[in-house]
Amino acid sequence: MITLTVTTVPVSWSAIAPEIVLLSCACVLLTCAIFLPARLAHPVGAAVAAGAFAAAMVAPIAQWHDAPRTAFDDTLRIDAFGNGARLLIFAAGLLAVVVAWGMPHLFDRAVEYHALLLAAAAGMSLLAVSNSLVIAFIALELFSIALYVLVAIDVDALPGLEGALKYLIVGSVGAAFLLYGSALVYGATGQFEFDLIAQSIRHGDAHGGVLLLGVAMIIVGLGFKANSAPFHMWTPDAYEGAPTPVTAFMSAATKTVALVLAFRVLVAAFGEDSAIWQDAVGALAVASFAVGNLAALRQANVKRMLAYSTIGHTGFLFTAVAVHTQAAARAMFYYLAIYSLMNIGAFALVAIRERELGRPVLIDDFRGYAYRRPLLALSMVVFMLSLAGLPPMGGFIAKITIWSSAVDGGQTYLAIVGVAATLVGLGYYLKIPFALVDRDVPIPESPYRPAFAVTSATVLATAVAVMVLGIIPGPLLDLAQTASASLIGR
Amino acid sequence: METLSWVCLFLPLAGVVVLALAGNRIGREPASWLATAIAFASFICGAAVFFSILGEGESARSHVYTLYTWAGAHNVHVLRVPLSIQIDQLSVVEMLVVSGVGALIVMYSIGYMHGDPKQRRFFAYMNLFLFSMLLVVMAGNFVLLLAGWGLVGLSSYLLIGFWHEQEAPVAAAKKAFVMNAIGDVGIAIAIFLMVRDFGTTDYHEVFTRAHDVWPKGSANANWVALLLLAGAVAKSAQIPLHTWLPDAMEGPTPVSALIHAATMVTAGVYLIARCHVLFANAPNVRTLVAVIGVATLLMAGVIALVQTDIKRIIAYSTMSQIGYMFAAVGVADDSAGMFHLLTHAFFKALLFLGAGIVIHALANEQDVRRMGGLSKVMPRTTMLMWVGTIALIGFWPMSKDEILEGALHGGGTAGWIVYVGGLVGAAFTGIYATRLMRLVFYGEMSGYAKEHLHTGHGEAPWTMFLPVAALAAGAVLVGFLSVGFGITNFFGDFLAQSAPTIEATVPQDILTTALAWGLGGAGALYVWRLYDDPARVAAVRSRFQTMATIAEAKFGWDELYYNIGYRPAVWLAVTFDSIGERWIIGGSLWLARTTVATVARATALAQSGIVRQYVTVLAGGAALVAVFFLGKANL
Amino acid sequence: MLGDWAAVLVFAVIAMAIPLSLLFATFALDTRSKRRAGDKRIPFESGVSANEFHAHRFTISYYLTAMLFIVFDIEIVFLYPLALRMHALGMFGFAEMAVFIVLLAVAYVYVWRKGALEWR
Repeated sequence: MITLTVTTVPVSWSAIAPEIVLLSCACVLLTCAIFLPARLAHPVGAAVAAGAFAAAMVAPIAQWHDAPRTAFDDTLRIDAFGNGARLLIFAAGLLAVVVAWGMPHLFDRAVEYHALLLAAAAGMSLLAVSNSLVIAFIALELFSIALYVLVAIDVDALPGLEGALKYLIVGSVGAAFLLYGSALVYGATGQFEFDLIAQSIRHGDAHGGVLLLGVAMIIVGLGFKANSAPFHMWTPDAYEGAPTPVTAFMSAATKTVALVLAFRVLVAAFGEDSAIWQDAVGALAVASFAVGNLAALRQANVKRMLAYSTIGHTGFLFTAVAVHTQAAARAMFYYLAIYSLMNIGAFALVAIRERELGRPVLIDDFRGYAYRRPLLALSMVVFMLSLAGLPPMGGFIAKITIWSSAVDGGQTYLAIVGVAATLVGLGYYLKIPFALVDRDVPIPESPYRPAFAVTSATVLATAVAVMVLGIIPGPLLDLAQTASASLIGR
Repeated sequence: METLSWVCLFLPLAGVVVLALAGNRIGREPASWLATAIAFASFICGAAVFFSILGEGESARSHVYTLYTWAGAHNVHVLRVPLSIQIDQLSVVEMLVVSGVGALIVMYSIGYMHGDPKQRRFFAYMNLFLFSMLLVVMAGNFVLLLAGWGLVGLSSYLLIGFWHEQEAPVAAAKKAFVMNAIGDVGIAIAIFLMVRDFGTTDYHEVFTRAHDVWPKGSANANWVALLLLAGAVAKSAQIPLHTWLPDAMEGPTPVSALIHAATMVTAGVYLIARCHVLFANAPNVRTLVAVIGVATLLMAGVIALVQTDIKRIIAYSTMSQIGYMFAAVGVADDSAGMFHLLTHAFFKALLFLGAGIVIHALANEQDVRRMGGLSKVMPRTTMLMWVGTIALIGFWPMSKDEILEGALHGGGTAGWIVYVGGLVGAAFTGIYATRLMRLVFYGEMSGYAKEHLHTGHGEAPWTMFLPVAALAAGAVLVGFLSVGFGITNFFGDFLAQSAPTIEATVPQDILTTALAWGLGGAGALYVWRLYDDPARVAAVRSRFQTMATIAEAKFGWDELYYNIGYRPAVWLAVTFDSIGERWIIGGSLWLARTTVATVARATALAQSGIVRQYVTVLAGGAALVAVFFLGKANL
Repeated sequence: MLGDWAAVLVFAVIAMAIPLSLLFATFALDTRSKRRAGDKRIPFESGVSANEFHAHRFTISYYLTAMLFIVFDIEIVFLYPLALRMHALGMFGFAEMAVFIVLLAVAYVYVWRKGALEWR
C-alpha cells in the first residue's frame, strides 16, 4: 500500500490579488456580459476590463516598498521587480482597452476580447512574480493560449487567422523547448525554484552537461517569447495579422514579461554560471539587432515595420540581460516602460488610421497627414523619434542608460553594435515623419471617419508622457532603481 | 523673493511661447502690447527683488535658488548641473538694466515696427532675447550661463537678420553668429577645465575654491581667464573679435538699442566682473583685459570720426564705451565698470532710439550727410539727443571719470595705460558725439530731408517718444547714484560685497574730472565750430589724409579676416568638398548604404511566410545555442 | 524501492492492452460476414472515414462537440482522486476543486450561450 502524505501550502491572498481580480472579472464577463445585447456588450466589456486593470494595480502599488518575500511555498517571489512588471502589464492592458474602443468592428466579439485580454494579463502577471520553472510555464501557457485566440479574434480576416496559426505552431515549439529545458534543469538539480536551483549549483550537486543543455533550451524558449532572432520568424506575421489593439498589447506586455522572466531565471537561478550564458544572450542580442533593423528597412506596411522594430528593440533588452548588473536591470526597466508607452502609442495611431481608411496602413498612407490631423501627426513624430532613440524623447534616455550599463558591465561590443543598429534604425523610423509633412499629396476626396476622442486623447497623452519622461527621467529612473534593487543586491 | 526671481526670469519665456503658439490668432497690435506688458511685469519683479535685497544685511545679499536638478543625481560621480540662479548685488543690477531698459525699448518698438508684416515674430524674438539675457545674468552656474550665452547669440542672430529678404542683414547676422561662436567655444573649454578640476560648475564652489585649485599665476588660472576673456571679447565686440558689431546695425533700430548697445554687448563686462576671482588669479590676463579695452576705445573712437551712417557712428561709439568698461575691469575697478555699464545702457539706448526716430521720420535714411537742420522740426527729439550726447561725452553722469579715477588711484602699468588712453579717448568722444549732433540737427537741411520730411510729421508717436524720454530721465537720475568727490557713492558701496572696487581720493577725483571735462569739452567745441565752414572740414581732412583713410578702412580688420580666415576656410571647404566629401565621405556612405540595402533585402527575403521553414530556423538556432553551451562545458 | 514502480508497470500494461484489445475485438466479434470488406477493413467503424478525406467535407460541429466533451471529461480525472483523499486534503482541497468546477461552469455557461452545443 502506497501511503500519501498531503501537505497544503499556506495561501497568501495578497500575493495573487491582481490575478484573482483579473480572472474573476474575466469570469464575470463570460457568464454575465454574454447575455447582454451586442450594443451593450462592448461598453460593459470595456468598463469591466478597465476597472479590473485599475483594481489590479492597487496591490502592486501598495506593496511597492515592501521587502521581497516568497509565497506559496517559494514558488512566487513578490518583489518590486515583479510588481513593476505587473504595473507595466496592467497599464498596457488598460491602453489596449482604450485602443480597442476606437475599433468598432471588434464590437461583436467585445466580450471575448476583453475576457481574453484579462486572462492574458493575469497569466503575465503571474509570470512576472513566478519563482519556479513550473509556475513560470503554467503562467506562460495561460497567457500564450489567450494570445493565440486574441490574434485570431477577428475570424473574418484571413491575415489574423494565418498569423494566429503560425503563432500557435511556432509557439508550441518554443514552449516545448522551455518545458524540456525546465525538465532537464530539474533532472540536473532536483529543483524547480530559482533560488534553490542556484543553491544546488553552488553546492556542486548539479550535473554539468544536462544542466547546460537545460539552460540552453530555456534560453531558446525565452528568446522565442521575447521575439529574439533567430526565434523571431512568427513575429511579423502575427503582429501584422492581429487586430491592432492586440498587436499593441502583445508588443508591450509580452515583451515585458519575457524580459522580466529572462532576467529572473538567468540571474536568480543561473547567476553563478553567468560566464556561460552571457555570451549566448549577447549573440542573440546581436542577431536581433541585425535582423530586426535590416528587415524593417524593406517594409511598406507600418505594422509589419513596427513588428521588425520590436525585434530590433529586443537587441537592446537582451543587452541588459547579458550585462545583468543592477544598473542594467534599472536601464531595462526604464527601457521597458518607455518602450511600452511609445509602441502602444504608435499602434494606437495605426489603429486610428486603419479605421479612417478601412484597410491595412502603409507608410505611404501617412503622406501629408500632418496637414489634416496635426496633433496626431505630431504625436507620431514623437513616437518615431523616441523609437529611433533621438533626444529629447524617452527612447534616447532608455538607449543611453542601456549603453552606459553595457560599457560599465564590460560588454562594450554590445553598446557599439547597438549604436550601429540605431543608425540603421533611423533609416526606417524617419520615413514616417518625412511622409507626414509631404506637401505634394492631394487631400483625398473620400470622407474619413474621425477617431474616437478617447483614443486620440490617449495617443496625445502617451506622446506627452514619452517626451516628458525623456526630459525629466529622474522619477521613472528612481522607480526602476527600486525595482532592480529588489532583484539584484548590488 | 525666490518666486519673484523665477517669475522675472520665466515671464519673457512664457511670452515667447504664447506668441509662438498664438500665431495669427492674435492681432499685431495686441501681440506687441502683450510683449511690452510682459517686459514691464518682468521689470517690476526685478525691482521687487532689488528692494528686498536692499532690505537685507550687507553680508547676506547673495542667494542661490535651485528649481530642479536633472537626472544623474543617482550616480554620485556624475556632474550635477542644477537649474539654479544666483541673486546677488551684481546680478540684480543687471536684471534691472536688462528688464528695465528692455521694457522701454520693447514699448518703443510698437511704434517703430508698426505695419511690418512680421511684427508678431519680432516681438516674440524680443521676448526671447530678454529671457536669454536674464538667464545670462541670473545663472547660478557656468553651464546655465553658457546656455544663456548661446541663446543670446541665437536671438541676436534672429534679430539682426530680421529683414532676411535683403542680403546685407543675412550676411551681418551670419558674421555676428560666427564671431560669437568663437567666444562660445572659449567659454565651453573653460567649463571643461572647471569640470575636470572642480567636478562642478557652480559659481559659489568654483569661486571659493579657485585659490586652492588654481594658484595665482598658474598655467591653469591663466588659461581659464584667457578662455573666458575670449567669450567676453566676442560678445562685447572688443579687439580682435569686434568686426561684427557695425554690420549688426542692419537690424531694426530698437534691436540695435537693446542688444547692441544696452544689454548684450555689455555681457562680456558682466562676465569678467562675475569671474573677478578667476581674473584676480591671473594678473597678466587682467592686464591684457585693460590693454584690449584701451586699444578698442581708441580705435573705435577714431573710426567713429569718419563714419557717415548715423547708426554706425553710434555703434562705434558703443564699441569705444565698452572699451572703457573693459579698461575698468582690467584694473580691478569692477564697480566703476558696472556703473558705466548702467549709465551707458541708458544714454546709448537713448541715442539709438533718438536716431531711430530720425531714421523713421526720414523714410529709413541713415546717412548723416543727407540730414541737417532737423532741430527746427523735431525740437523734442533734439533736446533728448542732447541729454544723451552730454552723457556720452561724460559731463553727466560721471561714470567715465570714475573709471579713470580708479585707474589713477590703482596705478601700475595698466593703470597708467588706462588713464592716458581714456583721456585721449574722451577727446575723441567729444568730437564724434558733437559732430553727429551738428550734422543731423543743425546747419542747412538737405534736399533729401526737405523732400521726405512732411510738415507736422516730424515728431514720433507717443509710444516711441515716451520710452526715449524715460531713458533720458533715467540717464540723468542714475548719475546721482555715484557722483564721486565723497558726495555719494551708493553704487560702489552696494556692489562692494560682490565685486572689487577702487575708492579714489577727492583730489584725484577733481583732477581727473577737470581733465576729462576739459578734453571732452574742447573736442566738442572744436568740431562745433569746424562744421560752420565746409572748406575747413575738407582742409582738416586732407591734413590727416593717411589717418582718415585708415579709419575709413576700419583699420583693415575685415580685409585681414577675409585673407587669413575667410579665404583659407573657403579653400579648405572647397577642397574637402571635392575630395573628402564627394569621394571619401560620399563614397563610404554609398558603400554603407548599398551594403545595408543588399543585406536588408536578403533578410526580408528570408521571411518566406512558410511555417515549416520558421520552425526549421528556430530549431537551427536552438541547435546553435546548444552547441555553444556544450562547447563552453568542454564536453 | 522498485516495488513502488510496479504500479507504473501495471498502468503501462493496461494502457497498452485497451487499444490493442479494441483492435482485436473488431475482428473477433465480426459476426455478420465472413468476407472482410468495406467498413470492416478500416480500424474504426465510427467517426470520420479515414479513407475518404478528400471526398466530402465534414461538419465542424463534430469536432467542437468532441473537444468540449474532453474539457468536461478532464473534470472526472480530478474528481476521483479528490473523493478518495477528501479527508487528507481537507478544506483546502475542497476549495481548490470548487474553484476548478466554477471555472468549468463559467466555460459551460459561455459555450451554451454561444450556441456551441447546438448541432448545426
